[in-house]
Amino acid sequence: MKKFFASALVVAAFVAVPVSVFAVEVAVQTDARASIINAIELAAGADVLDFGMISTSGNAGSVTVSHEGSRTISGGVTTVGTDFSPASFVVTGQAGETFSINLPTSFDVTDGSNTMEVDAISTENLTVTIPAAGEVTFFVGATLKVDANQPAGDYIGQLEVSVNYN
Amino acid sequence: MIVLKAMSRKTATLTIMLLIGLSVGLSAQVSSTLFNIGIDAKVIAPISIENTGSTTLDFGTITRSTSVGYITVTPNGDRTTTGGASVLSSSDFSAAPFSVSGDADAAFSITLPADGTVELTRTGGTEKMAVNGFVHNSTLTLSSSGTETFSVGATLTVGASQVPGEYKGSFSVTVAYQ
Repeated sequence: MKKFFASALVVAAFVAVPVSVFAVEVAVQTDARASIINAIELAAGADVLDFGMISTSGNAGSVTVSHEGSRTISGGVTTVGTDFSPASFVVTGQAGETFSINLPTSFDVTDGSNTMEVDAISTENLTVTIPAAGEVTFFVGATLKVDANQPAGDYIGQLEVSVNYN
Repeated sequence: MIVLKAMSRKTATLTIMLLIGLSVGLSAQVSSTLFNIGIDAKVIAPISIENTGSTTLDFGTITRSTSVGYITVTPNGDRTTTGGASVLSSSDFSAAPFSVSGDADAAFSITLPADGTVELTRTGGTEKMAVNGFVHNSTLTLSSSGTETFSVGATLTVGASQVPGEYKGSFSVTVAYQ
């Protein structure tokens, strides 16, 4: 009788051991993080892309307005006056972030059914870092291709530019 | 029994306890079957968990918006966006990787933070973002070598016009044998 009770107690004692081991749980703490930045926005600046006034001839030619702000000609065109400008764009966004400028390869300017092509569209850097002020302006230049005997007129087109964070 | 009756009640209690202690000792020597139960218990390795390397749960860089957005990093390492915020595709992100070790082939459970308990706080500020919907991709069984690796993902809520900055927080992952 005495032995029976003793055995029962031992069972209770040892069974309790594995139960306590299984009940052990362990935890680990880990970091989580995220960065929030201002959205990037693009607005047209003060100047449109303006090739100025051009006089044509019987020979084809071209007018280039550089993004640095100079105007050059080649072939059978001459420039009149001094009004011209590269297009300007203003980007606002998160200081320190870089963005890419997306330019078209070409677009047309038209006056009624008459057309000229604009190509060689360029800017200083296609990748730009936003300065501390959170705002940066960039300029876009291009080349206007003028056909021989291009009809006189007021030619207008749209230069579509986009930007995106890298 | 006759002896106990002759004693006071306090003394009797003490004596019984002594007898029990003695009986346990005796029995351990007598019964080999019972002793084996004890050995089984000792073989089980304690379960442990660690965050692998220095990788954290990282939602990356997010562009804020005027409407609320949700950024989800899945345990398998995908990042998706719903609502107003958008992610910089070039920014690094990661689910949090963990490794568990313990007894071979043992089943275990994982306890992840409940919704509403984890927040990230802006460094140098008080603005917060909630992290909810914690999920893992574990099989919940240790391998034959007693290990298991898994990752934890979650969903970050980016408030409308959330203040820009670096946000940090922490969370706990708990494992236990089943």
